Amino acid sequence: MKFGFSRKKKKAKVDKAKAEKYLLYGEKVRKTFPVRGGVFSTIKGEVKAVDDVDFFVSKGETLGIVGESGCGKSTLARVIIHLLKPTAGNVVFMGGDLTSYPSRLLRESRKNMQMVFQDPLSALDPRMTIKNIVGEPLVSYKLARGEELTRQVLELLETVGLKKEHLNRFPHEFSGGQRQRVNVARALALKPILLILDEPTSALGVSVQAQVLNLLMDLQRDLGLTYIFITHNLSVIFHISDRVAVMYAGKLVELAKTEDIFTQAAHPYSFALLSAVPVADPSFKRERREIPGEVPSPLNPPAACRFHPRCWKATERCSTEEPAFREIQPGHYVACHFPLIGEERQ
Amino acid sequence: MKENRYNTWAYLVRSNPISVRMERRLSLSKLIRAEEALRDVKIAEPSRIVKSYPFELSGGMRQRAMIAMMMACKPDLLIADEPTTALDVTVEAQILSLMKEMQRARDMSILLITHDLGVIAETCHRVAVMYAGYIVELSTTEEIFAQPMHPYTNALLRSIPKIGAKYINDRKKPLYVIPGVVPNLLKPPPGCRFHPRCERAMDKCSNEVPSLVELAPGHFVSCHNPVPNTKGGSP
Repeated sequence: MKFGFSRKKKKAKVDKAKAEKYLLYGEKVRKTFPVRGGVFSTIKGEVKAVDDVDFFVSKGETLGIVGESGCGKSTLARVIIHLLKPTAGNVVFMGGDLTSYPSRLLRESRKNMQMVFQDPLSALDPRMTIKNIVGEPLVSYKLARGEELTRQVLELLETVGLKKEHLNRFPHEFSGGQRQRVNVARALALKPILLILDEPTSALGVSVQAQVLNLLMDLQRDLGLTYIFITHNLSVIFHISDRVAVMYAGKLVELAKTEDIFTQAAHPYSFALLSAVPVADPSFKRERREIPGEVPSPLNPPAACRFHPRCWKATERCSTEEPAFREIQPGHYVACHFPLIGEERQ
Repeated sequence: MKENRYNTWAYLVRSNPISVRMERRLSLSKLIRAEEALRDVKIAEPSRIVKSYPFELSGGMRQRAMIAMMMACKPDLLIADEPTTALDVTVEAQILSLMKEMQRARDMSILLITHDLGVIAETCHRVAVMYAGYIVELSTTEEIFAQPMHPYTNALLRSIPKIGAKYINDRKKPLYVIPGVVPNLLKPPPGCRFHPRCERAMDKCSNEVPSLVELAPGHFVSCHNPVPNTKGGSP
């Protein structure tokens, strides 16, 4: 007899055409966290961290996810890789619906998707040597042992630009950039197809950031990896991504090719966000669109379009009717009733 | 039992950093002045916010309250150490434009310390670039970004990803990496502190500390072998 709550098995829902076309796609992905309070810790509400997000990732591309803190970028990443189970919706990876997978299959599919975390030091066990850290996935999946393990770890270290003498060192002996290299090496150990990078350069200085970005671009070219690159740094996104998804308060507001987002953003929020980025070029002139206020609390977000209280184009419709996430140009998706077009952006 | 002398209301007023700041210098009604200071930095509902504790405010509001504190004594010089580093982009833009506006209104000087080259390009008139304890280059913002003369500034500008339509063709290209790491200041390298990582280092660089000289009008550089500049100038 099994103890604990029995969970009804979720039925897999896979759209064959989409599954063939994309490496990964999500439909109406939602993640909410209950908020407890009061004497008996009753559920008092929920934080909608990710709310009805639709996205897709093709093989070999880099999808950048941008947004301000608390917009749900990292939660989305964790939901994709199933470190967090989505409350609703489907995440289909390589033709299988992850939300319906039992843990055994999920473990199997993680061979193909790995994640690199933001803080390179806290992602590494301080009491393990680099050899054990990088080799752990191989040991855990029983893929290598003994000398074969050492050989493979060494190979991985070489791929990320580390040397043999680093094998028996501990994480604290490394610099920030080297630690992030170790994290990347560990993520590559199982030869994944998809790598989710959650702010991989945010904790690093400018020069080290350049090293890590170069490494990631090289690896993608050599190994044909697919990246989901999460960051709040728009210059980095601009440099590395093929397509960009802009998130605001748990919602995906725009998804388009990088060039399109940066030259013809259609959602007022994307436009304001891009016009607010400080550009390291004093000769660069542009219209500044400053938006008032701050990101709303995900506990009690504004009704309908979540951006409407800060939006200069908002009408009554925006506060009553939620805009659909629709394709306004081939490959350019936006969730807005009044997307910006043409000279309005100038 | 000092606290007992104050009722809760007075304690709140007193514990508010803005009024504390006022109290030490001014004898006017603290609360009203604190409210005014908050209104100056465009905080909505200053009469409510003046009674709040810092943890009740959002990041942007806290930074505004900080600026209000600093501005309360009408300084001639405001030193802002990484004022927007912890903030999100849209809030950062708000704070920076607030600072610029206050500078214009009060004719005040600002010393802005930051690692974000974008913030510098958009807000500063002049820039001093520091490396391992030395100012290595000092010039107007336009000059520094268009024609950096110190190899370090030059390398730094090449190592950041750039944004904007102008750079669309530079996307996905490898970025320049400055070799090595920032030196340990317990044992800094002799001579020019940047020489072990410098592309343009000469023998002289490892034993003689370069001094900060004006190589072009208003453009100071501390380097034995600076990057040539169209406005001329060699050491």
